[in-house]
Amino acid sequence: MRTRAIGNLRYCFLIIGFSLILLSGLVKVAHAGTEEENADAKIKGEEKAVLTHAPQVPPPIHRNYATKVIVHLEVRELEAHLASGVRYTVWTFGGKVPGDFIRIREGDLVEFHLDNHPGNKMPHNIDLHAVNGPGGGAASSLTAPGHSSVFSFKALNPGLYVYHCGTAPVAMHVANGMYGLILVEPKEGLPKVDHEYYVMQGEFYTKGSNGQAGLQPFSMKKALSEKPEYVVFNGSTDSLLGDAALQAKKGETVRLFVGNGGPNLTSSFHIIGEIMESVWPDGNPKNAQTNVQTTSIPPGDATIVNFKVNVPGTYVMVDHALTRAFNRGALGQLKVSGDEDKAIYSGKIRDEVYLPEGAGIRVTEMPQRIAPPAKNKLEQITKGERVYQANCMACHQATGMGIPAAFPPLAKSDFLNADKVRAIQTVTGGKQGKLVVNGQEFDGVMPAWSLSDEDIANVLTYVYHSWGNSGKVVSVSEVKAHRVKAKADKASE
Amino acid sequence: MRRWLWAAAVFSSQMVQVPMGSYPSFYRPKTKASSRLEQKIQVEAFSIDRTPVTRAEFLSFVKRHPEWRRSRAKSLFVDSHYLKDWRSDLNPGSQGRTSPITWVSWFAAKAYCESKHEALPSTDQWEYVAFDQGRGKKQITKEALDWYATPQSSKPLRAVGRKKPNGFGVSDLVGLIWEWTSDFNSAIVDDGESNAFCGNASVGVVDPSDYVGFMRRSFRSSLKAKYTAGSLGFRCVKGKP
Repeated sequence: MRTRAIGNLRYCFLIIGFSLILLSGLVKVAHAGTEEENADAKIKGEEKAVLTHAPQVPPPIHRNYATKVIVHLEVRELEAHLASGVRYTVWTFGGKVPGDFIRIREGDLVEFHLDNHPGNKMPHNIDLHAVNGPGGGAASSLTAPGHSSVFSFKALNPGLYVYHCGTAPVAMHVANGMYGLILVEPKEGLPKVDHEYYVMQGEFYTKGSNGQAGLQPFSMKKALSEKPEYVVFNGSTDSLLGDAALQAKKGETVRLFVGNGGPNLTSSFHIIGEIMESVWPDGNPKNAQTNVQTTSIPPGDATIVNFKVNVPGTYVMVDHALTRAFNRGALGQLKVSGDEDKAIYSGKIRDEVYLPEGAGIRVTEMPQRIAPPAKNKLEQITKGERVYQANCMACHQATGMGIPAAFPPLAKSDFLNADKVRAIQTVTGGKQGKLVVNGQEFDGVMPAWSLSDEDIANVLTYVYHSWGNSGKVVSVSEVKAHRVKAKADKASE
Repeated sequence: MRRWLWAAAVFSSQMVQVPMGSYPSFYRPKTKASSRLEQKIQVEAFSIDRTPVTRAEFLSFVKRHPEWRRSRAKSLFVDSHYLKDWRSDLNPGSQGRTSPITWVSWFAAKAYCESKHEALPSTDQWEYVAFDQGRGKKQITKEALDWYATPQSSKPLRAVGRKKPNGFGVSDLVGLIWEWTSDFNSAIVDDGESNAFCGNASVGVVDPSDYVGFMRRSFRSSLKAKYTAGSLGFRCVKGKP
């Protein structure tokens, strides 16, 4: 069983505190204030808010009183990286998508400055879901380029809230990246954890289809039909991959502040291989759910996720509406370092021949092939295409472009085209670890494929004749000569 | 009927004559808020500058009207960005003389037009010319969206009149700058507070997919008469508003 790091004593007291309020309706505790109490909270002093770009989160607040917090959020319209080779003009709160993380305490009085950079073309405003008042601030903050709007609000309700631009046409302002998170920390603070990270999902509606290189304009048509080309975490397909992955050590506790800017799709947030020990919808511990596998975060909402990492390895955050993860970019990594713990997770112990009961025939004795072998190159390519579709396309894509930072491209791949023998060995023996293809670094796993010599000859010939590759032909005898023999095969020989 | 009307449009050197006509209202008639019926807005004939006012033209204006030079313009009438890309009061720099003048306030633009016995176009006049009898609507939307999607460059803006004029013979209505209109802030509710935010903004609008229409209106509502911006210029009209 995994240990509960988050369910510490402090948190238990919190729950008891809330229960007392609910039961008696009279007991006054030092924990979460009511709206009235927060409205009346005395303001002592003044400070400037610390703002951070994702995935960083400003430090916890240790104040035990309410103060005046000054927030300067600057709107910038600029060209940014969306995916490998793909650029997009984003409209941002603070220069990046998602917008800067704002952290305040309940009862605080926030003096909010929305600064619209003079180099911008558009007017903008801000609707903070943490605000009680018309438009969540949008009614008072429409700001022309080169100007600044100031308004103030009192943080009455603790929780994790989305903020976004509310200027017409609002869907376009949000689709261009104008969203972020504001945490109104409860008076008693949040239970201490080893790492806090900021992850926010959003969609991009580009004119060019997914992967089409260059500066992509916004497609109004795709936005109106809610069919994005990209669904991403933190503004790009690779913002949380490879060197940019979130980091933790085995045994540490992690808290994610997860928001969804949308504008349209609900996120089915999931961490592959990691059960979320507690999930607080809207960032409110009173809403706690425990041992959650996938949590739903609608556009314009945010959730706090807490868990302890027990087993080293790479954990992938996805929108479990899976084509978004697989084909549109909704992938992020959390890398956990440390020693393995085989008692919790063994890793692959062995690979055995499986004999279904009553099957009576050993797989190895199955008739090898019913269809006649390919007679020429053209037939090889046709047959190879089917092998590709059944085995390779899921990762390397129909376009042969792969998925940036996850699966290497085959199209015009220097790694592939340089060496036919290596290609045979890669398919038959698999490939693991760091690999540079066309200047891009990959660090993943390709399994060894237990395909027939002919299937491998055909699929490689197909790949070499597709997407501008070198046009090599791979024969059955070449595959026989160079194939990597799997351990199980060797044992059975 | 319509054909001979615009065939009769006379092209003066700088101004284009626009015949009377109408364009579809952005908002539904107030009396029938639930109705999707579009309302036509009638516009009288008038003349309008073929292209936005250029930096060279504005220079000759401030030469004749010292009160509108950068150092002398009253802070009641201009914000601190007024003509900020000029080197000095009478030197807009050697580059971009034929580019549109920007960083000018509504007061300054109005004074310029009045100095020529002209006026700023009303929003209805401007929108009527830009709607262009519905000709090339798709192209206009595309050009506008592409422009909005490009961050403002630090280089001088493109010279005026380089792109094909519209059906009325008027150039650069979209894709180069925003333009002042005489009644730019008439959509604003009291106290500068507007209800046109978030999803609410589409209430009462004939076509909520008219994104570029929303952008023009949002932009205008964000302005005050003394404001200036690097992408905001103007042109003048003659005739009844």
